[in-house]
Amino acid sequence: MSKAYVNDERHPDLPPPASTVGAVGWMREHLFSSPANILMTVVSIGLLAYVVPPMVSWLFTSAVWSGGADACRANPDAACWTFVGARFDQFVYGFYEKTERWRVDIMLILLFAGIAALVYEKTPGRKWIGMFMLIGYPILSWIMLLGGDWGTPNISLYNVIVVLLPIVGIALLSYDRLPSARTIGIVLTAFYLLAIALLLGLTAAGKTELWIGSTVIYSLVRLDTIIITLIPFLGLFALTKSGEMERRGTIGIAMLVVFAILVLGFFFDLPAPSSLDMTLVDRVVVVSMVEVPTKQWGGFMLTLVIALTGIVASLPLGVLLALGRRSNMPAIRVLCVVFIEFWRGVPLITVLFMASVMLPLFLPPGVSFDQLLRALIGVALFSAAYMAEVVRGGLQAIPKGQYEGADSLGLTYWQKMRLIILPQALKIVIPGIVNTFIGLFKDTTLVLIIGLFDLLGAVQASIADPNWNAKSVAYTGYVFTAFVFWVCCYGMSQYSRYLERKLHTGHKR
Amino acid sequence: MTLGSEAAPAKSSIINDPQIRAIFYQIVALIAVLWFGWSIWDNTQTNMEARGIASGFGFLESTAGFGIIQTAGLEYSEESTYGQAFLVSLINTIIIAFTGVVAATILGFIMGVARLSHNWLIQKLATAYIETFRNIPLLLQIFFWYHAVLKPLPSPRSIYERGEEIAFGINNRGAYMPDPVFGDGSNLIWIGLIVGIIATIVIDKWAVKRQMNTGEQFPVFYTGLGLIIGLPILGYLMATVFMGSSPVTFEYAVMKGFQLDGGFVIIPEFIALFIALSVYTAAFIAENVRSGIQAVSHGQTEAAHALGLRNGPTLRLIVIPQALRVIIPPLTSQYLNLTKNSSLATAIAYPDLVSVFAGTVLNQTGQAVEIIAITMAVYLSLSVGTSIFMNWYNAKMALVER
Amino acid sequence: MKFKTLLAAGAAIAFSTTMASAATLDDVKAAGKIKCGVSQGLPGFSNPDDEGNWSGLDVAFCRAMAAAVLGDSNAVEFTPLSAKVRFTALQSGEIDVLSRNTTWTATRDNSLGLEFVGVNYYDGQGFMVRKDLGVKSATELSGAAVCTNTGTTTELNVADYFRAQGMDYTVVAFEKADEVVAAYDAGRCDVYTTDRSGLAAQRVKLADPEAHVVLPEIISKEPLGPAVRHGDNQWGDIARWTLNAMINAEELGITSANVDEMKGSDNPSIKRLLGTEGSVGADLGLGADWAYNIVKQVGNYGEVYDATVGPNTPLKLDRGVNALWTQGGILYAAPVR
Repeated sequence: MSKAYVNDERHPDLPPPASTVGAVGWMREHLFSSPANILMTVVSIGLLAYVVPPMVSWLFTSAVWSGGADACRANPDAACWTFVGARFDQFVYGFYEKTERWRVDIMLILLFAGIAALVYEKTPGRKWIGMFMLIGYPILSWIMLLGGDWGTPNISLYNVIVVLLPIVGIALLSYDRLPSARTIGIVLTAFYLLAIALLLGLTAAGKTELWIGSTVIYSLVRLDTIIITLIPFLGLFALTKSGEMERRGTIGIAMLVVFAILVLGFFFDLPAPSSLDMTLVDRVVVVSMVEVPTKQWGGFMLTLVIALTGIVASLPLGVLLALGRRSNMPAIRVLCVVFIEFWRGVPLITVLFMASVMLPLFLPPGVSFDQLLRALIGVALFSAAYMAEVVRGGLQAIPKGQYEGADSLGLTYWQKMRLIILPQALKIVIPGIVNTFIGLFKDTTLVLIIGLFDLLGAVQASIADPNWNAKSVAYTGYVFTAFVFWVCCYGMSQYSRYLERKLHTGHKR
Repeated sequence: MTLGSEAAPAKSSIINDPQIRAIFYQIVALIAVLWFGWSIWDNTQTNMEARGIASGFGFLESTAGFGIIQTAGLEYSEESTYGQAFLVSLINTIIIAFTGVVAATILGFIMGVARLSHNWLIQKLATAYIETFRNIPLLLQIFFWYHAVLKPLPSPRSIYERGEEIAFGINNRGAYMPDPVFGDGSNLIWIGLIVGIIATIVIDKWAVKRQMNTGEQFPVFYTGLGLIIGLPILGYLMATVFMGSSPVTFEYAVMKGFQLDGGFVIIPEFIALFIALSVYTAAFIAENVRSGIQAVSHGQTEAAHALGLRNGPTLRLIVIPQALRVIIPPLTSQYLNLTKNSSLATAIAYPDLVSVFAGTVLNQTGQAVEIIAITMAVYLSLSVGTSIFMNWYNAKMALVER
Repeated sequence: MKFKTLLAAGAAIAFSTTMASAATLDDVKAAGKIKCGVSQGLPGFSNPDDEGNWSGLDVAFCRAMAAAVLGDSNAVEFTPLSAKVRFTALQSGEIDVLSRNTTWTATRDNSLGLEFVGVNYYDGQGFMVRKDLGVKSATELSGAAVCTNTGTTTELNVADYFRAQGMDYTVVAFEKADEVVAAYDAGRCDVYTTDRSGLAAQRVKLADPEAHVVLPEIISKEPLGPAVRHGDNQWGDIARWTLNAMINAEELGITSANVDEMKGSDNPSIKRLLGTEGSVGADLGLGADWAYNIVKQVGNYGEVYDATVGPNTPLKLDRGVNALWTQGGILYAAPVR
């Protein structure tokens, strides 16, 4: 018997061919897999060799990093970074009052802290931080940046009627269960209790003014007036609490009728009863700081103000417009379509032109408001139209069953949207929303055309300085601006990619 | 809503009836909008009257008195009217928008495909391109390209002799090329072109029908190319024979004291704006193309490979047609954006609608309301026109389902 | 109290608008500042420094108005405007006065809803070329490419001039002056044309100012002056007499240094101007010391000229025709009487 020769051990795997492993293998697969690929690789390498070295030289190795304008004049073929250094403050703050720049610093730090907290997913109370950044932060930054006296207006009975009647009336007619009326009641009651406490405290202390540091909090609230304004709200509060809401329709209509009479009075120019003019609450100033008019705002700070206002305002507006566009009411639908298509169809610079120099023509003589505010409104409406289209995409992607399911549960329209549809729809379109934000952020440069000094405007104004007439100064300024914008936009787009991946639950290749 | 009378609503007031409410809201909305529109109209009228601002559209008939650097082949001189200046600037806007759209689409598709390339270097380069140009404001890019175009180009005086004739040349006053002049008999060329196009369309229809019926293919592309190029050449030859001389002559640019005169010029402002707009928009289109291609299920590619198709045909016949359905809607918005962004031309002196009409003309006449209204209406119609065309194309490309 | 006023007040609170009446003077007094439209940066005329403080000849006029109306030459809000938007901004009420080296022409005065109140700088359009072109006169410029600003009289004048001379040209018109200069510097054009004062101002910004030369021809009359909205005569009078007061002050030898001393002068003209006699201020709706404030806080025309565009500034512009009529110029202000 011949000896059987069986290998009872597994032969070790042969190493893969040398050409498929390591750097060589990687290059073969990724760079030189076919003649066409080889050609493209070679061309690309040639392109890089042509572009990169001079760029590195211009930007870094031969750039001027120290010295003044003369150093840049001596070396015109390289970046002049000392220029950016010398004008950095102007690039950030524009012409903002020097002594008040700490206010901007605080808001910037708060902004970056807020964004960092939102991006990091394990932050406790992210939802509340998000709410603050969307609602509280813009209001706070407006107050902080503008300064001046902030507080309530001088409230007369007439102001209460004109502002509150239609709002409360429509709210009563619209909300079937008015879930928030109670909250409103509690907040208002708390506010008035606080005001009374403050008043009593101050009276007891024999003071009419209260100072905290350089901030004055002075109260001239009269007790009787507090009680007068308190009555309707207490009534509302009581109504909600007792569940007596069947009457809300009647109350709402009554409120609208009173409002309509007032409006008619306005048209026919009737004399108003003098009691309407009675002051209920004197102006209460809560914060008092040096006022920095918006004309002096500029630089990166202004860019952020415009972009953030646009972002914060365009989202809710866009959602409303998108809902309107998909509404069952033909008139509302048509209005929304016309509005959206109008803003999407015209160039932003014509909008800004209208807002900045033509608006007073459209308003009654003498009425005007802040130029920056007008540009902000223009930008916000413009991006709201884009946002509406993005949100509409999300609404359309929600299966019909979701709508029907919500209807069959007996939810009202707003409940359906708020609780069922919008949370799903907005989640789908987060990348689209972020892309709109990026577009908005870049579009802020156009305010330069209407004479606001945003980052690009501040850079251009500095470039025009005859003391810095070196050739490289302009290019350096533009490269710097481009870099700042790039960092912000790239950051946002990477975050949107990340969200896209995170929310993408389908199968990947 | 309810099935029988027994389910009659218990206690329903009018204000709870959704239909009545809907009507009420719509009426309120309409009244508010109408009132808003009317008060703006009324205020504007009052204000303009009070300030003695001229109104009406009569200004379109007055003499403009200023020159425009690019007249788009139209007759325009300083003696022309504002109306003609409007036309010239409108055509200039359409030219930049159209050429920009075409270039951005081509570059965008190339870059979108390159972004998914198996070649590592190409893929990274495409990514770098997209991420760079997408994230920098267009206005900056326009400034950049303008100076990037102007700076390296020589001045005409430094490279040409006085009186020298130049066929093709580029300097910091523009790119020059011969300007064709169509003389007698050149009609035949145009007729050839038109016939070629019509014949190609007819052949295409016929070929599709035949392929549906018999499965046989017909090389429509090459036939069409031959007809569209061949017939005009035939016309040219016929005209040459009949007339005894060539119907098309070329006018060359001649060096005068300061710069070249004559010829067909493409001004540097156009070149810079064209590059800036197409490079910027292509970066967005590339991203749309990428996501469109990725939206096509991988199974489609595998199936195509299983059928024996190679990479090229797979991409062209299987992936791209399906990806287009995803790509077209965002592509439409990019086209609209490009058209509107062309208004930034005003920053670098390209004589577009905003620069000339809403700029110079507005300033000379002071009739801001009329001029801005016309300008907005033009951009709106351009947008609506583009949208209609793209929607039609989209409907054509849409998946035909059961 | 009428409903209309009440509603307007309510709206003002609700939308934080500012209320004002039709008369510009009342608006300005209520706001406590004058809204003044200036250029986006033209050294010598209106230019911001790196702190955002504006200075220049046009700026000084606005400051003088603020001194006359509000008694404080710093109560001015400057709005930088491009040539393109300046008239619309004034028409709409976005600004109260336009002081932006603007040429006074018939069309602008009559159909644009503007009212020019005088001339604060007599100018004329000129050409600047590179020295190495070897051009000595504008008549040699046939076929040249010309850089200029959109929406200016220069754009029209250059068209007229070349047509009248039977010369070809191509015009490249930019929106911002800085862009015109940058393009000219980059070699896009052979010629840069604007008002000669503007040429002097912009030349400072060029990379190598000595390599350029201004040609001798002056192809147009460019009376540059401030303008206000048409239809508000009182405001127009205030603007007109602010300018006249500055020129008269120079003629009478009143400067910011000696104005206090001059207040005690016996010269009736000086007394009328400085408000110690007569009621010129009250007639304008201003205080009696309106002109005193102008001279004290801003200076007379000559002082302002010397400090902003004169021979001792980077612009190095001689008084020339802008000298007083008594000194060979054409500056001739109506008397305060």
